[in-house]
Amino acid sequence: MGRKIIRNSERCAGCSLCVLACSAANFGVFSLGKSYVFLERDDRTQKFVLTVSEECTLCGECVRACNYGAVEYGDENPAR
Amino acid sequence: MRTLLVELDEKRYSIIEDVKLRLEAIGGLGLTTTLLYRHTDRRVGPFDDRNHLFFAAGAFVGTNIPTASRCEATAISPITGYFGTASSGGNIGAALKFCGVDGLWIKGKSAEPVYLVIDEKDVLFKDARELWGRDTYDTVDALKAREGRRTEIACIGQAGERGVRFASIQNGYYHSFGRTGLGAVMGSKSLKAICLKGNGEVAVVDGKRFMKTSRTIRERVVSSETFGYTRRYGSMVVSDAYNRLGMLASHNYRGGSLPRWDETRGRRAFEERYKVRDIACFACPIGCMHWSRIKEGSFAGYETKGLEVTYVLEFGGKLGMEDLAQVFMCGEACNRLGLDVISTSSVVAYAIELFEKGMLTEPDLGFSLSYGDFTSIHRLIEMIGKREGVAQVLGEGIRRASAYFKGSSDFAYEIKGLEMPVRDPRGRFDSWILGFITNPRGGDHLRLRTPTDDVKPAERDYLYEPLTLSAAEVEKIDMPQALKDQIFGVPPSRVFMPVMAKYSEEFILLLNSCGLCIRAPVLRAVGPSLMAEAFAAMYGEEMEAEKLLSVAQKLFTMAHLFNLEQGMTVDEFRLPERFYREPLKFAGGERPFLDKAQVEDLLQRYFSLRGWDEEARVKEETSERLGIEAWKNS
Repeated sequence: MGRKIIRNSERCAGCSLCVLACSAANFGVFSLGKSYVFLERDDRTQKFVLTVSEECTLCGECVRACNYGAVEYGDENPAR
Repeated sequence: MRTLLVELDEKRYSIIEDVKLRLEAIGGLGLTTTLLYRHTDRRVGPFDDRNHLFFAAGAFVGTNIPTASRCEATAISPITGYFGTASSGGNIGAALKFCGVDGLWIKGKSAEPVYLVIDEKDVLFKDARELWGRDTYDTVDALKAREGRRTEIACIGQAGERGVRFASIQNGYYHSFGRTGLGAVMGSKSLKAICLKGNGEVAVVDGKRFMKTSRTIRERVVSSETFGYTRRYGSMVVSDAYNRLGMLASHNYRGGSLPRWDETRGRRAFEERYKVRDIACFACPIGCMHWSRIKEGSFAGYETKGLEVTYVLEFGGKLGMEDLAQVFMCGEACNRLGLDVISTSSVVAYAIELFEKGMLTEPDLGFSLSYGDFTSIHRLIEMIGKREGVAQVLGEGIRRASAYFKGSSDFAYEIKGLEMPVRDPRGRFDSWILGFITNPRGGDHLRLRTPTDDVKPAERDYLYEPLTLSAAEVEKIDMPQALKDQIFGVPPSRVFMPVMAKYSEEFILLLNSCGLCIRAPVLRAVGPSLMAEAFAAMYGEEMEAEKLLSVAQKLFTMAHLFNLEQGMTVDEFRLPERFYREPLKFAGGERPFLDKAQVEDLLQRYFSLRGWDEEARVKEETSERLGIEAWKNS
């Protein structure tokens, strides 16, 4: 049973630290586009949606970067 | 360093590269100060086409250094006529960096309303005639629909268009470049908005060293004893203490506290009745901002960002509004019209006092005006923002209005022409309050914050404020040891205010140049040596704390020199007279009026530490030592 990145967008505060951590670890630069984690924001309502690309390397940098509990490790097939 | 020069008259742009500038100007406030000092003619008016408008993202913005989000805007201030500058958080600084530039220099004026669209490759000048006259929320809505919802937008509302001297530049819906009226400078250029659409990247020279420093800063910020409270309440954490200690500027500085404050306007009232969830600026692990919902009353269901304590101290304290829902709505009105909250609230408080004294009447206004009355206050805010009727005079700011309303200067609370914020100096005279007087941008509380900021009672000798941190906590502060010894004594026992004031102004200037926030968890956690380490790793230039502080000293002095060259004299370094004459009453008793000789002595000690003479003129040897080149009018 593998691990995967669990997204809790409702807890997301919109800081982009997960995106920056991913881009730095996997692409060697800070970028909002060159990353495997993406943040979509609705600025008027300050609601945020996180997505993780299929190419995610499970390096865990986004999990370590998030201070809001919005990105966590979880099981790929959690027990029902 | 890359600065994008946009010439509005000619509708053309160019990139100015200057590699040497990084070490001299750092970024953010340091960069805008340097550009203003070098390129802005002295003695020109704020609405003259020679008044350039500069923006710059802090040096670390775009990276993951915790809280590195801040962007600075700088020009000659319409309200003071001096060095005008304001900082904003959110995402705008990062958006500028992702357009591939550190700074933006807006030159000249457009003949017709225009907005800019900037990305890594191009600058477009677009017709804004259809946007002119619209408030900032409508403007952001319209521009996101046209330019894409990811576009970051700085824009002005009706107040900036119509030249209200304390108009803000709004950043998105909820953030502001608030103080010193830069929105009116943008309006005078017929520049409605700046749209940033860059999708670029930010690289660092030594990735390993940089990430290590970033982790260290993160650990220090999130383990700060102030972190939990700041996340939970945001700046509202101090609301109750201000009332308890008698530091409120209630009813235009007439009392230091208000009845029922905690239960109506305290931090728990905010948390329990309004707060919904945490939100954060770019790269911030603190998340001091909140999303809020008004749950009952006539505004039930309204949602917005907040609540910033400044809104509560201003609308709730200075204007005496009890209902936080009404405080929220006054903040919304300022955001939409593009008005600085502090100056707006201060001008309204001044107008209420005019009204009470019969100097402003119901026939003048069309309605009566009183403290705590939401309907009339909200209506006056709208009139000020749109420059309607007698509010045109109020939109000139308190200093000019008090020349118009003869006999009102006694209750016109401003320093250097800028309306004073949030705190009564008699409540607690500390380094922070000294910074209200010395601030190059005028009566303001945000350019001197100390790493030991506190809101505890201050019984003390006038030269010292009490130190409430333990020796172990002082040990942890990132500050050169020699300075610690001078400021706190050996062993640490008190805070020597003149040295703390000078150091803290340079410290805040560095935070504003690096783009870091000035919330308490950062003030305690980050200092010159950590900033120097991150700077060295990011730019490959060796840097150390002392060097950074000397650059900050130079930049601070340049802002002061600019003010002197604009005509400022030592007379501008003063508090309103009432603070020297009347004691301050509050629920806990009475605080005495201030002793002018003591304040003057503090100022003279401060001038001397800065290398200024007793008239606050910069001594020649100081300019020489700091390597400041004299400016010559071209």
